[in-house]
Amino acid sequence: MNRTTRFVAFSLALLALAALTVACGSKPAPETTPAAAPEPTPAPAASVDLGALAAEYPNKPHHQDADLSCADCHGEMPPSEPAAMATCLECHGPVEDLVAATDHGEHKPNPHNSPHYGPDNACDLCHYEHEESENMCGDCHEWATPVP
Amino acid sequence: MSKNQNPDTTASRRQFLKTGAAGLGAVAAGTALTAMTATDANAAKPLPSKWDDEYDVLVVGSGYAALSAAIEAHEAGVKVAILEKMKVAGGNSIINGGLLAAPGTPLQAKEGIKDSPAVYLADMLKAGLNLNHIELARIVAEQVRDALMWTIDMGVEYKPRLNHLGGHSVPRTYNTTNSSGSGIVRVMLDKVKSLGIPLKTRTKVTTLFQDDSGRIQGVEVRERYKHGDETSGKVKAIRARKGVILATGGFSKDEPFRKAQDPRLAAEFNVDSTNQPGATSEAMREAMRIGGNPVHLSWIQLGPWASADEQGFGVGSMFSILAAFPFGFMVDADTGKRFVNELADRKTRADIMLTRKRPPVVITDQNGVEFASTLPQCLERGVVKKYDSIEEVAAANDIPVSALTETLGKYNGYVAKGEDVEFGKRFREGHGQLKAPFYAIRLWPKVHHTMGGLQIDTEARVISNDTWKPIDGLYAAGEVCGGVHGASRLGSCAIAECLVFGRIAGKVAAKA
Repeated sequence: MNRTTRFVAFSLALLALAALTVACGSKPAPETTPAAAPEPTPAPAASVDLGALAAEYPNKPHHQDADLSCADCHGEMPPSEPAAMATCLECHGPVEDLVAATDHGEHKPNPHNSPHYGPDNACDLCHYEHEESENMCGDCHEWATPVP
Repeated sequence: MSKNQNPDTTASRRQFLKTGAAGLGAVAAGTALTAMTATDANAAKPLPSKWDDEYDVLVVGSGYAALSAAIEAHEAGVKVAILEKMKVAGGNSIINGGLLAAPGTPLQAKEGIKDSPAVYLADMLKAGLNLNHIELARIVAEQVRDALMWTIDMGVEYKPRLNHLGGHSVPRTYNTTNSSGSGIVRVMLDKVKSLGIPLKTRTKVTTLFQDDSGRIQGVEVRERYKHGDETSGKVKAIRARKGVILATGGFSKDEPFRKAQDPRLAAEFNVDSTNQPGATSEAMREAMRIGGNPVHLSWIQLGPWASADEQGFGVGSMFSILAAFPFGFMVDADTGKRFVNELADRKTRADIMLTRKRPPVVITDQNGVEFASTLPQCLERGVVKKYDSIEEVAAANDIPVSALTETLGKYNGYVAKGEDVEFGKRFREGHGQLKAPFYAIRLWPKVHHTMGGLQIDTEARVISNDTWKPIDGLYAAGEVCGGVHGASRLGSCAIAECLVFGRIAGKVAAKA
């Protein structure tokens, strides 16, 4: 690519960054550096393709039914960190309610209140939003409780 | 997971050792781990051009030894961080039975039991077949009482009654009120949090950086590591200005490594383990790569008290330890006869149990089960069964009834006399003659503890076999070390080792 084309590509990259900043409204822009790569790169899209993002990271059906967007849980667009546990608990909490919901009687295993970790575990040790959840108890134990 | 349905043949013995999907997954992960870290095995890694973060002391692992080290280093005034590769903290420490032996304790005074560090040490050496590094074992015997009181000051609660575990001359074992190591670990995790010590989970140490003089400078980690995927996470470099403390536990779940040391433990023999999936050898081997001397690697302990009818440590192990072994007798299911002292050390029991053709059965009664803490769960899950007569026990377990009845009579005779002339078992205070109803559990040994590991000196410094001197800035504590227990570890002496040497490592590293 010659120098002119490189300059044009670079300018477009800066414009895209400006557009991104505007699109996020009053929230601070996510920490990105300009695409000042030594090698020329094709001009990126004028704004983040939210549709593509949503397609790559689909929500679970129950969260789709609740019409939740990425920002509802991640608090920023585009998301750069997993959602905080406090956010999950805004709808699903408090933790005591979860402990009660999976209490099947004395001496029966309770995933939200085990002898090992008590009620202290982070939600996303088992509950994954954008892929199939994992039953962490199953790492050692036989009981295969389904994990939403 | 399938419960054992078939008694009798050798082939079906393998049946009831099935570990199920979880076990196979762990085997596959173990294989993958070894394969991945083998590639750059001996290539020295140059120091990073920049560090992503800096601390005085880095503690690797988050069990008893790690948390003890971190707390002590912090109290000595240095900046500490804890790095844990799994997604939860606590390792094996948070899932075990919470049993801790110490000599000369308040409960021993209360129960009128005479004991001393010398007797404690003698018991360790006897079980260890005198292979123990005696100076290390002595430190544990002498300092464990202090460590126990330290945990009590921190808020840990123990039951008001002692337990007598196999291989110990006298009852000296404290147990947490919830019969779990979590009773200690969660108190320590709260303490770590209140002191503001960062504990980063999913952060796996892959490399120990050394400068040209051989001094440890820091570590390379994978942040957001996913267990089993050695390419997961983002590579970062963390500086350790004073030192790195390895408290990464043992390798019971590392099938390729453990079977090289002890071929009985290969996957094809379906030997189950009590450990969490992260109990693998990479951090230990990284220290060995830079010269850390390995000791006693082939001495791998199988827990004799584990139930053949559930996976892992489960609820049956504590039943055997607290009730069935001290207050009952064990028989070979084919002969109906006793074959070992139920309170011998773990190796003695496990080795001889492995020679039986079917899971041995341990029988106790209503009096014995008063000491059990997991009885309801055991009954509910079919791990322990209740019987109205000894004949029923025989019938249900396919044990010759006349032989079993005779064994019961003989055992009760020994109890009455106060002397087990056949196997030398010591009868505890409160052990009466057994009578119906009876409670029985079927046992099969499971891989539990790796006595071998890195050689350390009395200051928890890792010894190099290039120089036979400490590797500058490298410390280790807990199951990752070798030498304290020799051939076989006494039950309830692991927490002892971890607390004592974790505290030493933290204090010494902070002073460096």
